[in-house]
Amino acid sequence: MLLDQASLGTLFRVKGVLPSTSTPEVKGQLEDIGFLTGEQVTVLRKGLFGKGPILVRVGSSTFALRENEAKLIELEAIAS
Amino acid sequence: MTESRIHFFAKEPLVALLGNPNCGKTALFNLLTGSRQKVANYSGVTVERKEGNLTLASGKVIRILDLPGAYSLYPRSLDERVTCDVLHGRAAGEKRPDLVLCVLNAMNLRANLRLVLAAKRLGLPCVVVLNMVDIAKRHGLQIDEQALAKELGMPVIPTIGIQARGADDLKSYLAQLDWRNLAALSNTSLDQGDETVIAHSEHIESDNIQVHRILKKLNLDHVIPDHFSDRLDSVLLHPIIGPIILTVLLFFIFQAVFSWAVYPMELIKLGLEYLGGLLTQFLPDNWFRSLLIDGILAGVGGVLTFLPQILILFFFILALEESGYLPRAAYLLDRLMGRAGLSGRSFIPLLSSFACAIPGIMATRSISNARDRLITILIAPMMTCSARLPVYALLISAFIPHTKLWFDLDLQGLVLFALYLAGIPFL
Repeated sequence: MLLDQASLGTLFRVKGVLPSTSTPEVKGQLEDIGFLTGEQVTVLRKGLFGKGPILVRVGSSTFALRENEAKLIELEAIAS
Repeated sequence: MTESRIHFFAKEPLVALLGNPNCGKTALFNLLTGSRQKVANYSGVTVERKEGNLTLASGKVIRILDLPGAYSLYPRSLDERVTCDVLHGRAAGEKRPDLVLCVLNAMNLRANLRLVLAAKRLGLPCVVVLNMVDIAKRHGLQIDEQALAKELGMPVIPTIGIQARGADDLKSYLAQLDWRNLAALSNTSLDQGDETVIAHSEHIESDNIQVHRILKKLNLDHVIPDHFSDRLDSVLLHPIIGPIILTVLLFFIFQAVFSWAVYPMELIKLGLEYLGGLLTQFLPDNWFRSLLIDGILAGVGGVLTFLPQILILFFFILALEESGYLPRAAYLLDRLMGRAGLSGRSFIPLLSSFACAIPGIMATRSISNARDRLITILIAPMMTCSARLPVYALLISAFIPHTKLWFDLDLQGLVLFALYLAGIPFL
């Protein structure tokens, strides 16, 4: 599943960041701010009608991502 | 003939503060250096360079450099480029630091530790400063400093950046340090230089594994939710309530910029007129008097009258930034600004350009992305500033008939509104 599809408030784990053809530098940026394999991720808020930037907590920091950035982050459910 | 520059550096050792954005690095810098700071720019770039002196208990003076915040030592932004250049000893006119203090936010060890591991590869003497230990304790987070120091292979010193005596441990550590033999503190004598993309992503993978191992060992491997700011955010970032709060706040700020500034502006204007009158009285009527009154006084005075507006706007922008509201406003406005290819951060400078483009352009300093900052600076003067209002009013009264349209709508008012709308470049 990709981050823009994730449901609000559920804890996920980052599987990896997909490379982007149009903006190749984004993958590295996302990894630098903490979207690394195994990190815990929760979507805190989405915009009205599911549009606009997505508020995401990764580890213990919070970031706002645009949809095209969120689409690059692969998630997996946490086995509980 | 070739030209070669020789730089002379002060003999005091240079200590650089390195850390993630939001790790409390600047608060710590202020605490260490007090009011003895020099603020300038790095040569050739618009990145702020802050340096200050610290006198140790032993009487030794050291220079402290506050590096721009960085998430990694792979340069992506202008700020990170400067940080990397300084640490590799490549920045023009800058000495390579003698010691690096890696500042860690105790509340966000996960992201911060990756930077520490990257700093270890620099070949510079490194010391870890564990900041915000007070907040961590309040959240029930017990960090075993000795164990962390053992895992990292570097000394770890706890600090509280916002408390008057919060850096005393660090000061006494620096005082007892053997400054002639700092090499003992570096992990490797080899500086591998800039990382390539591949080396960087390999490093980040291995660093991440190591950070996980360290956190697990110290029993810190769980997410700490920040309840208080979460509760605030649920209101401030609410899709409906959030924009309403933002609108009210911005309305208040612009109201203040205009109405609070009226009296000091009048005062400055009156003072200048008085000074002009005085000069007319006492100076003979020649070119020099004209230069003084019509040139310098009128020219400098014209800028000076904007000072109250600029100061009030800056006070509010600073308050918004320090309280952490600015990134939240940027989040709320991202979609609107995204249409112009800008980020939400450009909103406040552009909106304040309705008052005057000068404070608007000065406010673009808070935009971190260099491209966004430049676009905002270029757009800001196109917004309809208050000085254009008299011109509009004059032209409208001269050319537009004073007739009522449907619903008692005034044609002149409508034209003014249309002119304002037309002045917003990205609508």
